[in-house]
Amino acid sequence: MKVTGEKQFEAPPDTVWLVLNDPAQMAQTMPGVESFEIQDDRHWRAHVKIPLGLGGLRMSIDFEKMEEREPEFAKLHAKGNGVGAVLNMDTSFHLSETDGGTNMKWEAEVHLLGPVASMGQRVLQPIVNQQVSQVLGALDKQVQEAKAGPMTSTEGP
Amino acid sequence: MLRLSAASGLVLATQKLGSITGRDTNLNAVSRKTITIDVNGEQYEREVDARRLLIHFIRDDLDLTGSHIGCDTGNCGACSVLVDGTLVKSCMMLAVQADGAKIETVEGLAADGELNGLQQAFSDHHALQCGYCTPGMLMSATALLRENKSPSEEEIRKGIQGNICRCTGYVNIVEAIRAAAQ
Amino acid sequence: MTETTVTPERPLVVEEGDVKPGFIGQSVPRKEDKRLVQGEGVFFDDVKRHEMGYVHFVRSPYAHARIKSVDVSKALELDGVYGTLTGDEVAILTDPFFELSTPPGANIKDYALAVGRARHVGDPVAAVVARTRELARDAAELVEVEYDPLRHVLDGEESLKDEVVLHEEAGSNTVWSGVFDWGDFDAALADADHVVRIERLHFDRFSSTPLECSGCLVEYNRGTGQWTIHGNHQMPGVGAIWMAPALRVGIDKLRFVSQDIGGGFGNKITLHPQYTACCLLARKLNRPVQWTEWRTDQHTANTHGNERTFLDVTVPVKKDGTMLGFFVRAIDDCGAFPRYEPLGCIIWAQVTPGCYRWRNVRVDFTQVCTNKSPVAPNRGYSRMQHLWLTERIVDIVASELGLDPIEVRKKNYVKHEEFPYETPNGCVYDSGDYARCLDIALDLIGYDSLEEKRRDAESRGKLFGIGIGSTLDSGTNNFGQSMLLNPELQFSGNNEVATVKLDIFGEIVVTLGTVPQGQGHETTASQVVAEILGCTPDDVNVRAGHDTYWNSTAGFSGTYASQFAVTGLGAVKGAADKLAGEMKQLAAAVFGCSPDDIELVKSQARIKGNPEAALPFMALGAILNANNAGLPPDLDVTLNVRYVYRPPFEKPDLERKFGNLTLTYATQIHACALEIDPETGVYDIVDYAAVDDCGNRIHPQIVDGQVHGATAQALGAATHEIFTYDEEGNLLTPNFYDYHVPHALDMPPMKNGFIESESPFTPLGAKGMGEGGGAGIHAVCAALQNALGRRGEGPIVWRSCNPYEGVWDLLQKPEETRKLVSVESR
Repeated sequence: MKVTGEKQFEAPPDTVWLVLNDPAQMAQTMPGVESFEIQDDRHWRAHVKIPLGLGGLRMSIDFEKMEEREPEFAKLHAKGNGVGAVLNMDTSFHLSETDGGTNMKWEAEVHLLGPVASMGQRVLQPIVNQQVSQVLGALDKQVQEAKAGPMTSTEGP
Repeated sequence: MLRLSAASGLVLATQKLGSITGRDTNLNAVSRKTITIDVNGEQYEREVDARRLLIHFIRDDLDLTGSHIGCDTGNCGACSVLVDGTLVKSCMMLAVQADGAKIETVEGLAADGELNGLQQAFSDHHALQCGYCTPGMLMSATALLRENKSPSEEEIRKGIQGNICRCTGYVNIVEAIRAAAQ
Repeated sequence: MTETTVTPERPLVVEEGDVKPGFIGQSVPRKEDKRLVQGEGVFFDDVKRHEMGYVHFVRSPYAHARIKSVDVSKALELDGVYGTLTGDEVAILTDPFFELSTPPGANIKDYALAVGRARHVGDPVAAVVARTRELARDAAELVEVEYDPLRHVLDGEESLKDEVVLHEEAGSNTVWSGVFDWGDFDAALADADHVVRIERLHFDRFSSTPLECSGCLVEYNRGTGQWTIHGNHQMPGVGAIWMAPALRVGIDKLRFVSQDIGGGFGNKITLHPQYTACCLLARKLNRPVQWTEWRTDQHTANTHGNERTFLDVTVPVKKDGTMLGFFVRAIDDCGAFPRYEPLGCIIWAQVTPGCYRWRNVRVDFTQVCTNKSPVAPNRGYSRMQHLWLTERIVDIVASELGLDPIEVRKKNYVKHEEFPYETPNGCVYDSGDYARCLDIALDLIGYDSLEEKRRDAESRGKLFGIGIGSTLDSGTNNFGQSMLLNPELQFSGNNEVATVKLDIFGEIVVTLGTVPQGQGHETTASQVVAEILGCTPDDVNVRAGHDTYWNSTAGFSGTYASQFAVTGLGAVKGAADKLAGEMKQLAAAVFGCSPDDIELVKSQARIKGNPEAALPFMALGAILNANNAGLPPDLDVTLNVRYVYRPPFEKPDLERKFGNLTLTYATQIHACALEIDPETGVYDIVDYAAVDDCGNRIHPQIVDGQVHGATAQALGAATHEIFTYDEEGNLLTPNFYDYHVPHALDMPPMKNGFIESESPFTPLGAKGMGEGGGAGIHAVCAALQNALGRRGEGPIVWRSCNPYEGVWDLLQKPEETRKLVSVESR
């Protein structure tokens, strides 16, 4: 399934770009991240727990930055594995300067496989919507903090 | 967390429910518990894995293979048994949850090889073909008739609504239960 | 032009009410019941072996992917894991399974586990064996498989383009393709007063989902190289033909044992891949291994019924409603691996014109692979899909031309006096009376008060429809039909075996070659034996189940294709007749008279007219087995008889694709009345009648039970049982949570009727009828069409499965389906 969206930030594109491209900060925006490891500046892995009915779906997701043109465009590929679920996702975002801020256009192509996908079909869309709005909300917060304070170097949790 | 008891050689471990993930080789052993269960009037004491389903306990640990498994989502009713008088799908219950309970399975219906009225009615009315759903059907019918001595056709159909049969189309099963009620 | 080579010796129709002597025709208590109602049946999962390991398959989550690597090391580290099996090992240890098709289908490589590529969601990629069921699952999750996803194809027509090819060795997705042309369709077209064209019809994917899942417990004897498989394979003869060459052993090294089976319906015919994996594991690990299929695995990966698209249906019709034949382009989607296919590409030809006297039929048939679950000969196999087509043709033509679907059927049905009737491709319909069955069905459903029911429904704001489903259950295959697909195949005819013996204590013991899954074979066999030997069914011990070591199996042994009443009971009759002859010979030798003077009555062999001179069976058994000194040296009697029944078949004419493909044709005609709520599309079947004709009914209760069961399955398939996929290739109805099968509250009120048109071709005048032919699907589609359409207007029911939301769609957008049909009138 394809998800797209647009969001405005009250911060310059450089700030938004730094948040988006800092794995440590991104990890804090992603819902359900329990831990993550950075392998190099293009590869990192997150261990997440996605709410899915009782308990949650635990997955290990490998992120790879495929392409980037600082500070306006980046493309990521994510591959995740969990019990009964395989996730493949390609996501990209475009940043452009606006009056007093940044416009972010983003899109993601999400493929979910396995019994979780078969049985969870009906609730997949609402869950994805929920996840997306959480990410965007957390992203907002991160960007606000980055704008306010000095930009610190990466510190993993 | 892993605790080794060197003396007994047992490995005791605790683990949060649902934390078995796909890529963790440090798989902790599942906790075990000793349970006591009465099945068809006989007492059994066994040690089981906490995650063992009641139906597997009945079939594999107690060798009572009359109750069957037909699905993995609690929809088919082939595993239906009575737990303290209540009709339960035993695949939807853990064995440890039945600790101290009185269970009735199909093996407890006949007395000394003499079929009870319900079983005889099933045979008389050709209410079984392959026989795989039959134990579950019999337990559902038993529960129904205990509660309602003369059910209408609608009530009978409702009473076995949770039991899937692929062979008979239910026609003769309803007839048999009706006949047994009389 | 037709040449009928067989003339009937007996009357073709038996009037209801004839009481037959003996036990044949009586509903005697079933022998199987006593153990089954006590939960004392033995299904394969009930069998246990000391220290056995439990198998769990690691399955592909991708519809199509290259398998880059399979790493079992972490699984093997888990305490309690006994071992694993991967595709690489399978490719070394076994040869690919025998393919039935011609190239390119012949070049498909099908193994016990996916080798190199996974080709459908659920395709087994590796297997793990562990001490408990739960540990096997844990270990399976530790197996790391790296996949490289490939583009997948989920639609038959799309697959034809070969843009995404599943089997690189074949180079194409087409498993088989051919054109069948009988009569003179072009002349029929020229002769027509109307030509009705139906652009598209679709028979949906579903299956009979037997309640017991597939599985096996396999033991390997290292000393003798012998495998013993306790399982529920319903056609072990053919299973062995696939497995033995793959395992590179002789057929006798595979022993199949089963006692009770929880339904088969054709779903347990192509278990050879999983069974082969278990055989390899049992040998590798030197311990018994047990595999029980999960419900989700059964729906996802083993097996579906054939999904078939019918395109460009063209029907020439005369003014008076006589149909001259039809043309169709059929595309059959067999999923990721053919296995029993492409037999489905010819088996429909057993009923080429359906119930009708159409003489000019042209069928362009292609079968393709897609990245969906493989198919198997599910109940009604291939004939049901084709018969649905003929019924849709009749209803749509009737609707478009403003004709009464009842009258059109009666006009076009094969007539009672035409039996035995040879169809355009040389099949011989043995007996029947379709018009009479239809009348009985209409009577049962209260057809005369139809208008009243319609007005009443309409007053409540409902749409009312009544529909007929006529179907044939063709039984006892001539496997020579496979040669029409592939002349290289060396299969023809059919056979079944039975043994009957008289033991030392006078006990009669019967073994069968069949593999019953609830059809009551022990009971009906005992009825036949009792009648011939002059005892009661209780005196006849029929060994329960199947064992290839009983020496009562032949190449085609098994229970499938609606044939037991003919082949199985034919073998039993043959063996019992022969045994009776021997018993009379022995008694005659003892009494010093002629065997013709002996009769078998009340479990004794006695001289006719002299009941005092009697030898109880026990005496006969004892004399021959333990006290035989003094018997005449030329007395050729063993009291242990093995008989192979062979139906009378010829090899078909490969050139004309002509010949008799099945021995018997049972009839089922159903009538369905339903009401639709136009606001929601929800519909209720308010009345239902099923009439069957299977020749002589050996055990009426069993026949009725089969009719009930077939109806329930057909109604499920008509209303909500369907296997659909999302765009990733995930099955959306992978278990009973989403795949709704009818339960007791779903069944409509059902009335049953029957006639008995004896078959002139079978040993007992009976016909196989276990499959049924899907009449319920045809009837519901017809009733929906009747409720929704008006002459030349309204939607067209073009799919076999019509769930409520589908009916709502038809109501909302009638123009979309309306345009599928056109009429050219001259």
